[in-house]
Amino acid sequence: MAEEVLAPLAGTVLSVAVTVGATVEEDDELLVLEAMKMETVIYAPSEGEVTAVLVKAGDQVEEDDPLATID
Amino acid sequence: MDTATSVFINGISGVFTGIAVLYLMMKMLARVVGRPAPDAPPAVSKTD
Amino acid sequence: MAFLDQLGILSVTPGAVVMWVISLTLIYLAISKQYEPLLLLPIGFGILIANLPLTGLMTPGEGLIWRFYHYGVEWEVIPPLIFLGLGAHTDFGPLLSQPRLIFLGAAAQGGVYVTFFAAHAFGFTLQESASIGIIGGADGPTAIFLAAQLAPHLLGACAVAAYSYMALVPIIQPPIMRLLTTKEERAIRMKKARKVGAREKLVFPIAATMVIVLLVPASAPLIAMFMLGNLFRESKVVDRLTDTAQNALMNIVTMFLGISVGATMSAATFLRTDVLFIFALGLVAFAVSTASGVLLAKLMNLFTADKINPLIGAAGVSAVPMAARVAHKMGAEANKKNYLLMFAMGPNLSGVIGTVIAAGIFLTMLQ
Repeated sequence: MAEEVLAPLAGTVLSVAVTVGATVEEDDELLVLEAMKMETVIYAPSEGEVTAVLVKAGDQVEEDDPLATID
Repeated sequence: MDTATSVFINGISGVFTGIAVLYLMMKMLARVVGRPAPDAPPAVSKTD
Repeated sequence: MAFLDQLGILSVTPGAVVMWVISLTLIYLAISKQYEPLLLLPIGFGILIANLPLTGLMTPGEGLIWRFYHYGVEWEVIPPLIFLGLGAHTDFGPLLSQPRLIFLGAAAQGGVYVTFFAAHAFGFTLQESASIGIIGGADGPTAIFLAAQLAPHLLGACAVAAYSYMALVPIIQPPIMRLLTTKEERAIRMKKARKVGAREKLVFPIAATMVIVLLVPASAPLIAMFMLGNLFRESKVVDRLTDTAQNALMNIVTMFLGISVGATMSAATFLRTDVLFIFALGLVAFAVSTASGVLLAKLMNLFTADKINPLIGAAGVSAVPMAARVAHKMGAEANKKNYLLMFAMGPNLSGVIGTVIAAGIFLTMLQ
């Protein structure tokens, strides 16, 4: 079952650490957001394969915007 | 010391009272004006 | 010879030289360590020029910097204008979506009152003690607003203490937060808050102004300007005004505020043992406020199923958004998946309101 990784806060995507097809364990680093001049790392909520990466570095996201999906 | 204590007590209770009233206002606001869709244009322009 | 008499350098006092060192230290901290540079840089420079002799810059009625100070600070114009800008920057969404967090901002004023009491016990007058206590509110413009009316001779010291400790929040707060919380508490992930509609955010500044000003009229200059700025922003129909309030206006008044406050710190007003006490008490204020915010959060957890992460209580110390960032970082250290920043903004913003209410009450009772 595909799980959407949602942005926990609004900010700017600084870097994306995974690509489509990558296998991740729970708590692996997925991407880094910058919010209020602070870097926040977004971790994988579960293990699986990254089926979609919906943002790239430089994108602005709002809270709850989908960032990626994991199967 | 007496005025100091009076300021202390008035001050703390004043802050909490003010904040408590704000809290109640915010709760009422959520009930009266709150809506799940943030950007839906209101059908009428006045809330009262 | 007349020329020699008016040479500044021959009138330099040892006290002035000490102030030069302090001034250069603040400028260094501002530039090199980026400690609150927007205020500490002009404050530092203001100290320098106020301690160069025979300039007449602070001569009452005539001096250039005296004029900035008199019309901007003594007349209580600049701090409210800064609040206008702050309101235009503020998004009350995080607070509106979880109203109960507003009490954490109230609790964090604990340091203000404890310090007020302590200062008075040390011999400061009630007015001076209030100005020192309000440092614990971690709100520069409010501290300046209050000190300018109650204890102007302490204004410089209180302002520098407030801004310095605000810059040091990432150092002052964590040990206290760690001391008062368990690892389990720090790892608490808070339930996602509801989305707040644009209409709510629009009505809030109007309603909040009425509520607060009807209760504490003396807080009106600050609260009215804060909420007006917020109303500009949330109305979405005056973008030009919002932009000006957020940027040009804020920047202009910040410049004048910094240099005026710095220039009040002549050797005579600053180099006294009083000032050491002010710095010590200011630190106490920050520490106690941090503790009281965290403790109220823990107390609230006894009565609620949706647990509050007590770390965000420390964000009630309204150094916006530094204290929120500190809470977020410590939460992430305890639990990788903890994203406390937005939750912490709730107490952070209500702390601003709480400090203004506290200042209003001090003014009402002590003026």
